[in-house]
Amino acid sequence: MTGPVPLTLSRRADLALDDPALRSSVRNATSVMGVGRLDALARLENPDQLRDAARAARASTLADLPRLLATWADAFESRGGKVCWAKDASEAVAYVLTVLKRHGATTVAKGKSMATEEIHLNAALGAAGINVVETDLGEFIIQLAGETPSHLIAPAIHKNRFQVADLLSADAGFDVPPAIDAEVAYARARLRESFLSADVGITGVNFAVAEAGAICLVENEGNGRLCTSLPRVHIAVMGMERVVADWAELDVMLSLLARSATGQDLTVYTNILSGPRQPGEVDGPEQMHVIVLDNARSDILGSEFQEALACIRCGACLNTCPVYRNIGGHAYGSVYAGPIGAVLTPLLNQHEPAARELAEASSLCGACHDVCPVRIPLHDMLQQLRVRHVPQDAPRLRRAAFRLWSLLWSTRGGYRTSVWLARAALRLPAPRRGPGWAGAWLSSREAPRRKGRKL
Amino acid sequence: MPVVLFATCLVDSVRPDMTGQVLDLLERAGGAPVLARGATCCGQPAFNAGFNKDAARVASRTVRALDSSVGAIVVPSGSCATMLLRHLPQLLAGTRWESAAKAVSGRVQELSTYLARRLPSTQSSADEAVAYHDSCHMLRELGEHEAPRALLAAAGHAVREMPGQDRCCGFGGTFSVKLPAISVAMADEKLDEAVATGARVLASCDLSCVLHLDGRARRRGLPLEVCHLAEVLT
Amino acid sequence: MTTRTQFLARLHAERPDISRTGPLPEVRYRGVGEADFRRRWEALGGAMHVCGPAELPATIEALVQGRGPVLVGTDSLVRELPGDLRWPACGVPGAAAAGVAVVGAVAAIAATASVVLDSRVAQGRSAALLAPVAVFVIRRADLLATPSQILRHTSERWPDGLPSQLVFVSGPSRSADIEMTLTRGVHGPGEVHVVFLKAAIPLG
Repeated sequence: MTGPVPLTLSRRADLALDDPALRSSVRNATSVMGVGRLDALARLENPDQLRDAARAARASTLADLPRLLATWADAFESRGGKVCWAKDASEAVAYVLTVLKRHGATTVAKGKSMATEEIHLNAALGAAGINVVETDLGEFIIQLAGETPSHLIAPAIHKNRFQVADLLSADAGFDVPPAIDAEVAYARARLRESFLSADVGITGVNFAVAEAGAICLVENEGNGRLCTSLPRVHIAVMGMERVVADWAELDVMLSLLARSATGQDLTVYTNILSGPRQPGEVDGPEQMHVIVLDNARSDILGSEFQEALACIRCGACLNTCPVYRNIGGHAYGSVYAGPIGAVLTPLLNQHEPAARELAEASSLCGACHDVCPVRIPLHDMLQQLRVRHVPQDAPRLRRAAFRLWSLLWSTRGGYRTSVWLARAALRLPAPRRGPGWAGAWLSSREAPRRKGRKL
Repeated sequence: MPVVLFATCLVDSVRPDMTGQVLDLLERAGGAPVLARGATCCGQPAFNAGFNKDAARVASRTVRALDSSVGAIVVPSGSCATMLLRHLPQLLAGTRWESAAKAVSGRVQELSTYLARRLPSTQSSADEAVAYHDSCHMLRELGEHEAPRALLAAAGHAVREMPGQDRCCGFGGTFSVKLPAISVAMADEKLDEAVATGARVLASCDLSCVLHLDGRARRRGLPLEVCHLAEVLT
Repeated sequence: MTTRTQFLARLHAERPDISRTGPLPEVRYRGVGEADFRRRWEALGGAMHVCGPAELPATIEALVQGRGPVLVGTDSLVRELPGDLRWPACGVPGAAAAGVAVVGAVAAIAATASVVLDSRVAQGRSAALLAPVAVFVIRRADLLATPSQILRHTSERWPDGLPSQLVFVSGPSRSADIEMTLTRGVHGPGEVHVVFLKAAIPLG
């Protein structure tokens, strides 16, 4: 977000709800992707079987994570790859800066990576005087805007072509018309220079195949390929949970990932990278580094929320979530938005009240669970997070109120009295204001009425 | 076949007339319905807000009461039925209500599911276009998409489908008052779609959804009545 | 800096309720024949051609005419073709100057309309990446049904180890980042052709 970010979910949501252009963009984009997903799954004969198998595979892999990470690293290192084991964001950033310094690098071409957002890599590189160019079209746009991505897959869905034209024109020093072809042509030419001159390419990782010691990177534009073909050094940052056990698990995940995200059979480029360039290859990086990131994921592993690490970052849950649909990604105030963001953000930032608050950003409708390719019960996890947060975050008064309610309603007399009071209250003229939760209801809704339809 | 009606706390508190309406429907369906004695609330409001202990305290009473009844337990609420069917066995696991919760969950049926195979058709002369909102638990947890529509059609109503028919109405328990602006935005999208179908009635199998949507529809002055399915079928 | 041992020592997983019990199911796609490849590739905006080895030079000539400098790759299927730039000798600057790149691919995949590039065979990664037009020449017999035939058989295909890069190219470069409107040729080639080579008919 630009400017100071309001501290509460409610305030950030209000800003979004008051922005009709944003809401329209988000509504349109998520609808298109949602329809695409259904059509794409229908092109498979056994999508439900695959989703069940995907869930089981991810569960087994997470249960075996330490061993699989070791297997992956051995194989990758045997082909000259270098591994950094980063327990937190600062170690990951320090490693990147060390590599850049060792190579005298001043320019970085960067592919889209939520993990690098998570560790605030760009800010750290900028502070060290490194020129970082985001090469994904959507990321390039929001970099020009000084914003963060608002969706896992389409980072700039909250921007329309007029807003994009303004940003590109300011960058260009001449007018780029608000026509999408012209905007893309400008970006292509502008970013081509960066690819050809960058010293280092930095990307994320979609999957790391343990049995092969390789990584898989999926993309549509070709900037991922360019970042990993032209610069002398490639650094890839990955959350440690991105490991898949074997090629079969990769195959199943790839059959579901693009389908669930955008409705494609596969993204345009599915890259499998096994290490730096080999003898006989005239391009490709001389060095390839993978940073394996913990950054609080080890807190989630072994907890009742372990399954949240199964996420393959397809964004289907964002596209179906009625809350996301109305407030967009920035309102979450976090790197990760939507239902998966509402689950991961509290788990990765347990000590931050603003992070924990995201567990409230849901009506528990369960649509996320419906669409998740690996069947993560996100809706159940949101309820479980609320249970976990009550001791720290629920106001004393609310805890007392629920306790009183439960004591009253676990006796016949108590319940009957409450019901009688409620019926009596409903006979009174309906108020339009009230304190606390009653006020929150009445500010925009009539009080419940005792009689239903007029018979 | 004995049938026990668990009216639910919302019906008891806000729409007491609905209890009689549902009992009538159950009689027309050929049952000998009785009202569950001592069954109060399934605990869902507290559960959704993360207050499991408080939810369990209340729910265990309801479970105990229902367990001492006989026959099918009919619940005029998709979300309460889901609470009894899916969540209470886990919530009460390890307590002395564990086996009662499991036994009760095996007997629960949501109202429209129960009625669909049993209620005789009535070609009403006052048929109207009715839009139907698939409440979230009905659709996703109970998988009940057909029964309410079949019942509306059998009663002579034309069911109007909405494009976002499977999208949440925005109630979500305490969500409706903790994040009211988002809750109401979700309601507005639902209500606008209902009005756009030309229907003047919007029905749902969850009174919670009904009260939230009805409250908003009346505040906006929309030409739409939002009711529980039981009220439409009566 | 954290060592591998220290890092892994912090990881303690729970035993899950569900787990993988044996081989994963096959991915079953609807439609995995040549006609399906064509349909999908063309729907993505690609063009498909089929010819015999004797017609290949003429087929390629028709595609590259007037498109600017022609880069020819190193694969045996294409290396004899005429061109202005030859990979790998021309290097990245040459690849960047090309108007059209003509390269071989090691396989194609019908289920996903993909073309498979192998950096060891291609002697690099960017021969067909920088030009706005890419032509992939593939033996028709190397058209496979599904990605699984590559992904679940890597040790058979590459017994001496993987190349440093494998890419499945499934259509022209694209983005829908602006208003969900599809555009092609963002960074990679915006125009892509596949030429399937029929087997030569043996004489005599």
